[in-house]
Amino acid sequence: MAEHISHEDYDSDMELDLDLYADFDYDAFVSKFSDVDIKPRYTKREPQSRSNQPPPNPPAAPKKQRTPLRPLPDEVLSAIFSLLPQATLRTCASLVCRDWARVCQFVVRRVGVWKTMGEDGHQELLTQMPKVNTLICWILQDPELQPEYWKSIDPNNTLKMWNKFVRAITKPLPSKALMKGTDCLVHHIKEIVIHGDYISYKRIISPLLPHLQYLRNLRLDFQRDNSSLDLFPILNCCLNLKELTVKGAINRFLIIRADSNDQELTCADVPEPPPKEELESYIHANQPTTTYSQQYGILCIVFHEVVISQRTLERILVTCPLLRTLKATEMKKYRPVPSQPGLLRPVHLDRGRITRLVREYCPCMEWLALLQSLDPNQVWNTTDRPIKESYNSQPLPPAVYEWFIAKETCHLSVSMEAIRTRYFCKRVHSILDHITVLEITDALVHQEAGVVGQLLCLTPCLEHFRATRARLYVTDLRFKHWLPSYKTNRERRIEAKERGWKDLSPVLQASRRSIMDHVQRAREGKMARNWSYYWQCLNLQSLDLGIYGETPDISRLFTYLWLHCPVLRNLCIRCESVQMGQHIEYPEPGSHGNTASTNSNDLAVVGASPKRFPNHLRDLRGLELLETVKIYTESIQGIVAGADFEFLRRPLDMRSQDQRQCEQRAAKHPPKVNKEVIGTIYEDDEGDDNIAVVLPFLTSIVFVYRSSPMKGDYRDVVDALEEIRPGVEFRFMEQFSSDGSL
Amino acid sequence: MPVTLTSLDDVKFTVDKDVAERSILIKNMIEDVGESDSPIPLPNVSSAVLKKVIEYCEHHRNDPVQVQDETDDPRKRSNDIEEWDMKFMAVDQEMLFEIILAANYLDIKPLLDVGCKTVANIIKGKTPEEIRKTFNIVNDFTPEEEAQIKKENEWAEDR
Repeated sequence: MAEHISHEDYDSDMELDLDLYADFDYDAFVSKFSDVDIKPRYTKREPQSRSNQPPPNPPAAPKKQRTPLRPLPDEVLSAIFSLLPQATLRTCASLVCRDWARVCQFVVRRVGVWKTMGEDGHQELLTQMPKVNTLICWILQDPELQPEYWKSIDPNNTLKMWNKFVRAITKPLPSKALMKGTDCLVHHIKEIVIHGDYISYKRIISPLLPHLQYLRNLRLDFQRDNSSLDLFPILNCCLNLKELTVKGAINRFLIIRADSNDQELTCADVPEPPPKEELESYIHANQPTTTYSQQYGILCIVFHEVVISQRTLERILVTCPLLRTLKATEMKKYRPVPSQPGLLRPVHLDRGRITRLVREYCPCMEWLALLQSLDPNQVWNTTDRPIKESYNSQPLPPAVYEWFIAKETCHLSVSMEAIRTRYFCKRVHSILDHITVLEITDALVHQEAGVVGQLLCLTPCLEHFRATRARLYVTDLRFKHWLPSYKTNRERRIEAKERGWKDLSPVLQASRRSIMDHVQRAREGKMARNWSYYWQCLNLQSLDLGIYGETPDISRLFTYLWLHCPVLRNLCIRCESVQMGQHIEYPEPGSHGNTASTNSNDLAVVGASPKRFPNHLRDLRGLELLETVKIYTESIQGIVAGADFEFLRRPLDMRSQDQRQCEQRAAKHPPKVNKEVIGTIYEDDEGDDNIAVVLPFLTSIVFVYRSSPMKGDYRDVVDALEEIRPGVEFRFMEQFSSDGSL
Repeated sequence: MPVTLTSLDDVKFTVDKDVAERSILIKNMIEDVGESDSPIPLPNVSSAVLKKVIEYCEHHRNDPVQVQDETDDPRKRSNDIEEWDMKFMAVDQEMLFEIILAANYLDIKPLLDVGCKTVANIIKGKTPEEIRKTFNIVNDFTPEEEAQIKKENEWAEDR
């Protein structure tokens, strides 16, 4: 606020303050500290004065008010909003004013969910559809039901309902209510996700296809469909498609065909064993590539666990010049192709040829990952097979291409199997220094998990790491010695204060230079290439990691991350269980009798005593730049309450001075908390926290769980959390699909 | 060849052509009009703002032209601002908005991007009240509207 010239001005300023923050629930705030003697200078506002009255009018405001900034045009606002996390859009930006809310409409991801449900449910969905921009469909699946239930649903009935729904959303609408160029509800949808089971892809998607010309993102996940999918008809229909993801099931064949005329779908591109005169590949290495007239603007294609032929891949590369990401994994072990019993999948792709095509046709390509199962017994340990030679003459088995290293970023997808091979050590080790994005696709065997941790010790430039199925043993993590350069949070804050840093996190400021130096040294190859025992990825920004262990181990991991990845922004952890909040500790069955006899007066208790789990989430506090936290877990143990997140509480510094004073007073006399309900409250261990707020950049905390003692009812907790930390999204989601792939 | 630009308040700035042509608007104007000594009027930009914009264009005069055709790259992030740009953008909110508006009007995509990123960073981690205070925005919601938005946002979700 501007300087105050006179008392009147000052007062009017304060009045304005209250107007601006009339949202703040002053009553609730005061009543919370009712044991403190507070005499508010400004009496509370009458509730009805706000509800009926139009909002405060800026021209009526006193002359001292800052002139409102010129409003930004919608296209600039939406450009700004597209940079914000969805959680911030939902909980903050859309609640600022009408203009912002209107623009947010276009940026917020609004989801409509279709599944096999009653007539009313579909009607309700249809009324929502005009605002929906993402449609998620569960065909004969339902994440909220146990698989036994949806197995009993009648497929024909589902198909009937689906067709009816498709007819409704593709029906032409009166033109006036719609944006230019759109004439049915489907045209508003930017993203479609279809999860299917027991039902053929064609029958689901065909009625929709002619209407998908505005679609940007399509994701198909067909679990038990032994069938084929025609790729280019989809691309021909979805002219604006930017991302396509197709996921097959591990134990089935989903074959990606170029189109319905594609007769080569199950032909081996590299027959095994290869004919002697054509050692390199079935398609001659120098055979010219077929040209196609049609080109597509798609940016990202991901196939997971599908069967795709060399020819289809080549056609993709030749027709999609803007492609940045192309991933195709086929991690099945060698197994017979259904239509050709003599042939085993996967068959090997001619990587050399693909590499050449990428260089020629896809200048934007950043991430090319063609992962195939590498059976070490077949490929590495037998010397008499010609396939081995052909491997050695080709670039790399786990899809690493040297020419990406020239760029600032180097993306690498690798399977666990490949990491263990000598080949990987020899060829990939030399480029680990440059890797910025690393994805480990598969890790089913526990013993391999240690390698994941070790790999992070070799990747100083790493920014994004994903190994969802790694099951890393947290107890194996080795801490670096406590070097002086690693300051505690407290030291960092003091330093930041001395230097007058305000807006940016002290960690970022203090560490930025050293991290950049670290990355630069690595890029220049000045780093000693020793196998160190602690993670080197100081610049890690997002981590999606499956870990093995329970909550105390998570706590250890948080501490480890604080030391070794201080600029982490997005954290996603997948673990067995999370212990949080209050639980009832029952005596051991054997000791039950003893307890009962000693406590005979208190039968209601029968030896059961409420306990609290140590609050391990508090160890997140060190990661000051954290924006999103997502925890996938099988079970949340314990009754969670708002108090478990009290450490996140944000002092509302937006209040008027009086409110601030009364807060200070309240801080000296902390509000009494009903200890019987909440149990023991943890004392805050760092009294020095002059810093305004813990995790200042936090936007969302999400738990996805399978079971919890709360029976799915976290509404009260979420309400409490929203009071503790307004503007941050808290979610507790129950989900049955274990991989959380949604 | 130098180009003369005239601001809203009639202040003249003479800059090199390659600096001025960082702005697509000016570039197109020069192309349309052809070589000419007459100053280019920029009636939407004040001199204070134009001075800042020219400062930016001079610093970035040698940057390669971005061929970023796709505006909605899902991976773009708000925290990769260069150090010089970050310092350049360390101005008060009013100036920041004016620079963004000028960049939008003059069609200087990289400056607009940096401005948007800066605003996005300011928005991050703030409550709606704080955002209103920072940008001096008046809350024009009725409680009913606000409740409605909150309700609608409940069925939006992340990936």
